[in-house]
Amino acid sequence: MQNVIDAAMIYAGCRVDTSSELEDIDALVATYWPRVLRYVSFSINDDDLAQTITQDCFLKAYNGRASFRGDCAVSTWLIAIANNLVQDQVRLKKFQFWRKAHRTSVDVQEMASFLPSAERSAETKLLATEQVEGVKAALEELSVNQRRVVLLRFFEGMNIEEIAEATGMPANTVKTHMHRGITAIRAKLGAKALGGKETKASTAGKQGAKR
Amino acid sequence: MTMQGQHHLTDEQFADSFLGGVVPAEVQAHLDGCEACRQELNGFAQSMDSFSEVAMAWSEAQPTFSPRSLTIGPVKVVTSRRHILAHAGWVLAGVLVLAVSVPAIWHREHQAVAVRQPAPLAVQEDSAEQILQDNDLMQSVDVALQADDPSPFSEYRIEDLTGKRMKDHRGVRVQ
Repeated sequence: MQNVIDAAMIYAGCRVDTSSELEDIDALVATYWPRVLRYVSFSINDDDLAQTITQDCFLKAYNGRASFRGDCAVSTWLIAIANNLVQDQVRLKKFQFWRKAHRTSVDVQEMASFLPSAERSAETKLLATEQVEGVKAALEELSVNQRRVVLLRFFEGMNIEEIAEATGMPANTVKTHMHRGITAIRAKLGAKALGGKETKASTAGKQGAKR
Repeated sequence: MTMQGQHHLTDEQFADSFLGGVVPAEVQAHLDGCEACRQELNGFAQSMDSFSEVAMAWSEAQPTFSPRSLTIGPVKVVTSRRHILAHAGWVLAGVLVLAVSVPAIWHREHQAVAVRQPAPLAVQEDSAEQILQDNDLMQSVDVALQADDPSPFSEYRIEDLTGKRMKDHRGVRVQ
Protein backbone atom coordinates (compact mmCIF):
# COMPACT_ATOMS: atom_id res chain seq x y z
CA MET A 1 0.00 0.00 0.00
CA GLN A 2 1.42 3.32 -1.00
CA ASN A 3 1.66 6.10 1.53
CA VAL A 4 0.35 9.48 0.66
CA ILE A 5 3.31 11.76 1.08
CA ASP A 6 2.74 15.22 2.29
CA ALA A 7 5.79 17.42 2.40
CA ALA A 8 4.56 18.89 5.67
CA MET A 9 4.53 15.45 7.29
CA ILE A 10 8.07 14.63 6.36
CA TYR A 11 10.81 15.06 8.84
CA ALA A 12 8.96 16.84 11.60
CA GLY A 13 12.22 18.33 12.84
CA CYS A 14 12.40 20.59 9.82
CA ARG A 15 10.62 23.77 10.89
CA VAL A 16 12.12 27.02 9.68
CA ASP A 17 10.97 30.15 7.97
CA THR A 18 10.07 29.81 4.34
CA SER A 19 13.26 29.17 2.48
CA SER A 20 13.79 31.31 -0.60
CA GLU A 21 15.91 28.47 -1.89
CA LEU A 22 12.75 26.45 -2.42
CA GLU A 23 11.07 29.16 -4.45
CA ASP A 24 13.32 28.70 -7.45
CA ILE A 25 12.84 25.14 -8.59
CA ASP A 26 15.47 25.47 -11.33
CA ALA A 27 18.11 26.39 -8.80
CA LEU A 28 16.85 23.73 -6.43
CA VAL A 29 17.21 21.03 -9.07
CA ALA A 30 20.57 22.34 -10.26
CA THR A 31 21.95 22.30 -6.73
CA TYR A 32 20.54 19.14 -5.22
CA TRP A 33 19.67 16.83 -8.12
CA PRO A 34 22.98 14.90 -8.09
CA ARG A 35 22.87 14.30 -4.34
CA VAL A 36 19.32 13.08 -4.30
CA LEU A 37 19.78 10.98 -7.43
CA ARG A 38 22.90 9.39 -5.97
CA TYR A 39 21.10 8.39 -2.82
CA VAL A 40 18.02 7.06 -4.62
CA SER A 41 19.98 5.23 -7.34
CA PHE A 42 22.11 3.28 -4.92
CA SER A 43 19.28 2.69 -2.47
CA ILE A 44 17.06 0.88 -4.93
CA ASN A 45 19.68 -0.28 -7.43
CA ASP A 46 17.54 0.73 -10.35
CA ASP A 47 18.78 3.57 -12.48
CA ASP A 48 15.57 4.19 -14.42
CA LEU A 49 13.32 4.08 -11.39
CA ALA A 50 15.73 6.33 -9.51
CA GLN A 51 15.31 9.04 -12.14
CA THR A 52 11.54 8.91 -11.75
CA ILE A 53 11.66 8.95 -7.96
CA THR A 54 14.14 11.83 -7.88
CA GLN A 55 11.98 13.84 -10.24
CA ASP A 56 8.95 13.09 -8.11
CA CYS A 57 10.89 14.12 -5.03
CA PHE A 58 11.65 17.58 -6.40
CA LEU A 59 8.08 18.11 -7.53
CA LYS A 60 6.75 17.16 -4.10
CA ALA A 61 9.27 19.42 -2.42
CA TYR A 62 8.38 22.31 -4.69
CA ASN A 63 4.64 21.82 -4.36
CA GLY A 64 4.94 21.50 -0.58
CA ARG A 65 7.38 24.37 -0.11
CA ALA A 66 4.77 26.56 1.57
CA SER A 67 4.43 24.12 4.44
CA PHE A 68 8.18 23.62 4.82
CA ARG A 69 9.70 25.72 7.54
CA GLY A 70 12.59 23.42 8.32
CA ASP A 71 15.35 24.15 10.76
CA CYS A 72 17.42 21.59 8.93
CA ALA A 73 19.24 21.85 5.64
CA VAL A 74 17.20 21.74 2.46
CA SER A 75 19.26 18.77 1.34
CA THR A 76 18.23 16.86 4.48
CA TRP A 77 14.60 17.64 3.79
CA LEU A 78 14.92 16.52 0.16
CA ILE A 79 16.64 13.31 1.17
CA ALA A 80 13.83 12.66 3.66
CA ILE A 81 11.23 13.07 0.90
CA ALA A 82 13.25 10.83 -1.41
CA ASN A 83 13.54 8.32 1.39
CA ASN A 84 9.77 8.15 1.77
CA LEU A 85 9.34 7.67 -1.95
CA VAL A 86 11.92 4.89 -1.96
CA GLN A 87 10.14 3.25 0.95
CA ASP A 88 6.84 3.40 -0.91
CA GLN A 89 8.37 1.86 -4.01
CA VAL A 90 9.97 -0.92 -2.02
CA ARG A 91 6.60 -1.76 -0.48
CA LEU A 92 4.99 -2.14 -3.86
CA LYS A 93 4.67 -5.67 -5.15
CA LYS A 94 5.23 -4.24 -8.60
CA PHE A 95 8.69 -3.10 -7.59
CA GLN A 96 9.53 -6.54 -6.23
CA PHE A 97 8.50 -8.10 -9.53
CA TRP A 98 10.37 -5.69 -11.77
CA ARG A 99 13.37 -5.80 -9.51
CA LYS A 100 13.71 -9.49 -10.28
CA ALA A 101 12.66 -9.29 -13.92
CA HIS A 102 14.47 -6.21 -15.12
CA ARG A 103 16.95 -4.25 -13.16
CA THR A 104 19.02 -1.52 -14.66
CA SER A 105 21.46 -0.87 -11.87
CA VAL A 106 24.44 1.36 -12.40
CA ASP A 107 27.26 -0.44 -14.17
CA VAL A 108 30.37 -0.59 -12.06
CA GLN A 109 32.64 -0.18 -15.08
CA GLU A 110 30.71 2.94 -16.02
CA MET A 111 31.17 4.18 -12.47
CA ALA A 112 34.89 3.50 -12.54
CA SER A 113 35.20 5.83 -15.50
CA PHE A 114 34.23 8.67 -13.17
CA LEU A 115 37.24 8.17 -10.96
CA PRO A 116 39.25 11.38 -10.97
CA SER A 117 42.35 10.75 -13.04
CA ALA A 118 44.28 13.83 -11.96
CA GLU A 119 46.81 13.50 -9.16
CA ARG A 120 46.48 9.74 -9.17
CA SER A 121 48.91 7.13 -10.34
CA ALA A 122 47.75 4.10 -12.29
CA GLU A 123 48.26 1.97 -9.18
CA THR A 124 46.18 4.25 -6.99
CA LYS A 125 43.47 4.35 -9.60
CA LEU A 126 43.40 0.57 -9.83
CA LEU A 127 43.11 0.35 -6.06
CA ALA A 128 40.30 2.90 -6.04
CA THR A 129 38.49 0.99 -8.79
CA GLU A 130 38.70 -2.19 -6.74
CA GLN A 131 37.41 -0.38 -3.68
CA VAL A 132 34.47 1.03 -5.63
CA GLU A 133 33.67 -2.38 -7.10
CA GLY A 134 33.89 -3.99 -3.68
CA VAL A 135 31.63 -1.48 -1.99
CA LYS A 136 29.09 -1.59 -4.79
CA ALA A 137 29.00 -5.38 -4.80
CA ALA A 138 28.59 -5.41 -1.02
CA LEU A 139 25.83 -2.82 -1.11
CA GLU A 140 23.89 -4.88 -3.63
CA GLU A 141 23.86 -7.81 -1.23
CA LEU A 142 22.45 -5.76 1.64
CA SER A 143 18.77 -5.50 2.41
CA VAL A 144 17.13 -2.27 1.31
CA ASN A 145 16.94 -0.96 4.87
CA GLN A 146 20.57 -1.74 5.59
CA ARG A 147 21.56 -0.08 2.35
CA ARG A 148 19.52 3.05 3.05
CA VAL A 149 21.01 3.43 6.49
CA VAL A 150 24.58 2.91 5.29
CA LEU A 151 24.13 5.34 2.40
CA LEU A 152 22.64 8.03 4.61
CA ARG A 153 25.65 7.67 6.89
CA PHE A 154 28.38 7.60 4.26
CA PHE A 155 26.80 9.65 1.48
CA GLU A 156 24.98 12.24 3.53
CA GLY A 157 27.04 12.15 6.70
CA MET A 158 23.99 11.79 8.93
CA ASN A 159 24.38 10.44 12.45
CA ILE A 160 22.14 7.78 14.01
CA GLU A 161 19.53 10.24 15.29
CA GLU A 162 19.27 12.05 11.96
CA ILE A 163 18.94 8.77 10.09
CA ALA A 164 16.28 7.62 12.54
CA GLU A 165 14.35 10.82 11.95
CA ALA A 166 14.71 10.70 8.18
CA THR A 167 13.73 7.05 7.86
CA GLY A 168 11.20 6.86 10.67
CA MET A 169 13.02 3.92 12.22
CA PRO A 170 13.86 3.69 15.91
CA ALA A 171 17.48 4.61 16.66
CA ASN A 172 18.26 1.08 17.84
CA THR A 173 16.96 -0.39 14.59
CA VAL A 174 19.12 2.07 12.65
CA LYS A 175 22.09 1.04 14.73
CA THR A 176 21.45 -2.65 14.10
CA HIS A 177 21.11 -2.10 10.35
CA MET A 178 24.27 -0.03 10.40
CA HIS A 179 26.27 -2.69 12.21
CA ARG A 180 25.16 -5.42 9.85
CA GLY A 181 25.71 -3.27 6.80
CA ILE A 182 29.20 -2.19 7.80
CA THR A 183 30.18 -5.72 8.78
CA ALA A 184 28.97 -7.06 5.41
CA ILE A 185 30.84 -4.41 3.44
CA ARG A 186 33.95 -4.90 5.52
CA ALA A 187 33.76 -8.63 4.91
CA LYS A 188 33.39 -8.12 1.18
CA LEU A 189 36.30 -5.70 1.03
CA GLY A 190 38.40 -7.95 3.25
CA ALA A 191 37.63 -11.02 1.18
CA LYS A 192 38.50 -9.13 -1.99
CA ALA A 193 41.77 -7.89 -0.55
CA LEU A 194 42.70 -11.39 0.58
CA GLY A 195 41.78 -12.95 -2.75
CA GLY A 196 38.56 -14.52 -1.61
CA LYS A 197 39.95 -15.99 1.61
CA GLU A 198 37.30 -16.10 4.32
CA THR A 199 37.88 -13.85 7.30
CA LYS A 200 35.97 -13.67 10.54
CA ALA A 201 34.34 -10.48 9.38
CA SER A 202 33.41 -11.98 6.00
CA THR A 203 31.69 -14.93 7.66
CA ALA A 204 29.79 -12.63 9.97
CA GLY A 205 28.98 -10.33 7.07
CA LYS A 206 27.30 -13.08 5.06
CA GLN A 207 25.06 -13.89 8.00
CA GLY A 208 24.36 -10.25 8.77
CA ALA A 209 23.41 -9.24 5.26
CA LYS A 210 20.62 -11.79 5.08
CA ARG A 211 19.05 -10.80 8.37
CA MET B 1 34.27 -4.39 26.03
CA THR B 2 35.80 -7.43 24.38
CA MET B 3 38.40 -7.39 21.68
CA GLN B 4 38.48 -9.81 18.78
CA GLY B 5 40.81 -12.58 20.00
CA GLN B 6 41.83 -10.16 22.75
CA HIS B 7 43.98 -8.44 20.13
CA HIS B 8 41.76 -6.50 17.74
CA LEU B 9 38.48 -4.61 17.60
CA THR B 10 35.32 -6.69 17.42
CA ASP B 11 32.95 -6.22 14.47
CA GLU B 12 30.66 -4.23 16.72
CA GLN B 13 33.43 -1.94 17.91
CA PHE B 14 34.60 -1.53 14.35
CA ALA B 15 31.10 -0.53 13.22
CA ASP B 16 30.68 1.74 16.24
CA SER B 17 33.68 3.71 15.07
CA PHE B 18 31.62 4.83 12.04
CA LEU B 19 28.40 5.79 13.79
CA GLY B 20 29.27 9.44 13.90
CA GLY B 21 29.34 9.78 17.68
CA VAL B 22 32.25 9.96 20.04
CA VAL B 23 34.59 6.96 19.77
CA PRO B 24 34.79 5.21 23.16
CA ALA B 25 38.06 5.78 24.96
CA GLU B 26 38.88 2.08 25.06
CA VAL B 27 38.47 1.75 21.30
CA GLN B 28 40.49 4.88 20.70
CA ALA B 29 43.23 3.57 22.97
CA HIS B 30 43.31 0.32 21.03
CA LEU B 31 43.48 2.11 17.72
CA ASP B 32 46.35 4.22 18.94
CA GLY B 33 48.32 1.11 19.70
CA CYS B 34 47.17 -1.30 16.96
CA GLU B 35 48.48 -0.59 13.49
CA ALA B 36 46.43 -3.40 11.86
CA CYS B 37 43.09 -2.15 13.20
CA ARG B 38 43.99 1.44 12.36
CA GLN B 39 44.88 0.46 8.81
CA GLU B 40 41.70 -1.52 8.34
CA LEU B 41 39.61 1.32 9.72
CA ASN B 42 41.32 3.83 7.45
CA GLY B 43 41.04 1.47 4.48
CA PHE B 44 37.33 1.04 5.06
CA ALA B 45 36.78 4.78 5.40
CA GLN B 46 38.81 5.38 2.24
CA SER B 47 36.78 2.80 0.30
CA MET B 48 33.51 4.40 1.36
CA ASP B 49 34.85 7.86 0.49
CA SER B 50 35.99 6.68 -2.94
CA PHE B 51 32.63 5.10 -3.58
CA SER B 52 30.78 8.21 -2.44
CA GLU B 53 32.98 10.42 -4.60
CA VAL B 54 32.59 8.27 -7.71
CA ALA B 55 28.85 7.89 -7.17
CA MET B 56 28.53 11.65 -6.95
CA ALA B 57 30.53 12.13 -10.15
CA TRP B 58 28.35 9.55 -11.88
CA SER B 59 25.21 11.24 -10.58
CA GLU B 60 26.35 14.67 -11.75
CA ALA B 61 26.84 13.25 -15.23
CA GLN B 62 23.28 11.96 -15.41
CA PRO B 63 20.67 13.94 -17.32
CA THR B 64 18.50 16.14 -15.17
CA PHE B 65 14.92 17.15 -15.92
CA SER B 66 13.27 20.40 -16.83
CA PRO B 67 11.27 21.44 -13.76
CA ARG B 68 9.34 24.20 -15.50
CA SER B 69 7.64 21.79 -17.87
CA LEU B 70 6.43 19.71 -14.95
CA THR B 71 5.42 22.42 -12.51
CA ILE B 72 2.81 23.91 -14.82
CA GLY B 73 0.48 21.37 -13.34
CA PRO B 74 -1.32 18.31 -14.52
CA VAL B 75 -3.37 18.50 -17.67
CA LYS B 76 -6.99 19.10 -16.74
CA VAL B 77 -9.38 16.52 -18.03
CA VAL B 78 -12.41 18.26 -19.44
CA THR B 79 -15.53 16.64 -18.10
CA SER B 80 -18.27 19.28 -18.36
CA ARG B 81 -21.37 18.34 -20.34
CA ARG B 82 -20.89 21.21 -22.76
CA HIS B 83 -17.38 20.11 -23.64
CA ILE B 84 -18.38 16.49 -23.91
CA LEU B 85 -21.19 17.45 -26.33
CA ALA B 86 -18.82 19.60 -28.37
CA HIS B 87 -16.39 16.67 -28.64
CA ALA B 88 -19.21 14.27 -29.49
CA GLY B 89 -20.40 16.67 -32.22
CA TRP B 90 -17.00 16.74 -33.85
CA VAL B 91 -16.76 12.97 -33.71
CA LEU B 92 -20.23 12.63 -35.26
CA ALA B 93 -19.37 15.10 -38.01
CA GLY B 94 -16.24 13.13 -38.80
CA VAL B 95 -18.19 9.89 -38.98
CA LEU B 96 -20.76 11.46 -41.32
CA VAL B 97 -18.09 12.82 -43.63
CA LEU B 98 -16.55 9.39 -43.82
CA ALA B 99 -19.91 7.72 -44.34
CA VAL B 100 -20.61 9.96 -47.34
CA SER B 101 -17.20 10.28 -48.87
CA VAL B 102 -16.10 6.66 -48.74
CA PRO B 103 -19.07 5.21 -50.73
CA ALA B 104 -18.90 8.16 -53.17
CA ILE B 105 -15.24 7.59 -53.85
CA TRP B 106 -15.80 3.88 -54.13
CA HIS B 107 -18.63 4.41 -56.60
CA ARG B 108 -16.63 6.83 -58.71
CA GLU B 109 -13.69 4.48 -58.85
CA HIS B 110 -15.85 1.61 -60.05
CA GLN B 111 -17.56 3.79 -62.64
CA ALA B 112 -14.25 4.88 -64.05
CA VAL B 113 -13.20 1.29 -64.35
CA ALA B 114 -16.42 0.48 -66.19
CA VAL B 115 -15.88 3.33 -68.66
CA ARG B 116 -12.34 2.35 -69.27
CA GLN B 117 -13.36 -1.19 -70.27
CA PRO B 118 -13.66 -1.44 -74.14
CA ALA B 119 -17.07 -2.40 -75.46
CA PRO B 120 -17.14 -5.78 -77.18
CA LEU B 121 -17.12 -5.48 -80.97
CA ALA B 122 -20.35 -6.47 -82.59
CA VAL B 123 -19.32 -8.93 -85.24
CA GLN B 124 -22.65 -9.93 -86.56
CA GLU B 125 -22.92 -11.73 -89.85
CA ASP B 126 -25.85 -10.65 -92.03
CA SER B 127 -28.37 -13.34 -92.58
CA ALA B 128 -29.07 -14.72 -96.07
CA GLU B 129 -32.49 -13.15 -96.06
CA GLN B 130 -31.00 -9.73 -95.28
CA ILE B 131 -28.53 -10.06 -98.14
CA LEU B 132 -31.35 -10.98 -100.51
CA GLN B 133 -33.34 -7.94 -99.46
CA ASP B 134 -30.30 -5.73 -99.97
CA ASN B 135 -29.77 -7.07 -103.45
CA ASP B 136 -33.40 -6.50 -104.35
CA LEU B 137 -33.21 -2.93 -103.15
CA MET B 138 -30.06 -2.24 -105.12
CA GLN B 139 -31.52 -3.71 -108.29
CA SER B 140 -34.70 -1.69 -107.95
CA VAL B 141 -32.66 1.45 -107.52
CA ASP B 142 -30.69 0.52 -110.64
CA VAL B 143 -33.81 -0.03 -112.62
CA ALA B 144 -35.31 3.23 -111.50
CA LEU B 145 -32.24 5.17 -112.47
CA GLN B 146 -31.88 3.54 -115.87
CA ALA B 147 -35.50 3.93 -116.92
CA ASP B 148 -36.74 7.44 -116.20
CA ASP B 149 -34.07 9.83 -115.26
CA PRO B 150 -32.28 11.35 -118.15
CA SER B 151 -28.71 12.03 -117.45
CA PRO B 152 -27.89 15.70 -116.97
CA PHE B 153 -25.00 15.16 -119.39
CA SER B 154 -27.41 14.27 -122.20
CA GLU B 155 -28.90 17.70 -122.07
CA TYR B 156 -25.56 19.07 -123.18
CA ARG B 157 -24.82 16.08 -125.41
CA ILE B 158 -21.95 14.96 -123.33
CA GLU B 159 -21.22 11.36 -122.84
CA ASP B 160 -21.73 10.33 -119.27
CA LEU B 161 -18.62 8.26 -118.75
CA THR B 162 -18.84 8.37 -115.00
CA GLY B 163 -22.37 7.05 -114.96
CA LYS B 164 -21.45 4.36 -117.42
CA ARG B 165 -18.45 3.34 -115.31
CA MET B 166 -20.63 3.30 -112.26
CA LYS B 167 -23.19 1.11 -113.99
CA ASP B 168 -20.40 -1.22 -115.04
CA HIS B 169 -19.16 -1.46 -111.51
CA ARG B 170 -22.53 -2.00 -109.97
CA GLY B 171 -22.60 -5.54 -109.08
CA VAL B 172 -24.67 -7.86 -107.18
CA ARG B 173 -23.80 -8.45 -103.57
CA VAL B 174 -22.82 -12.01 -103.05
CA GLN B 175 -22.98 -13.98 -99.94
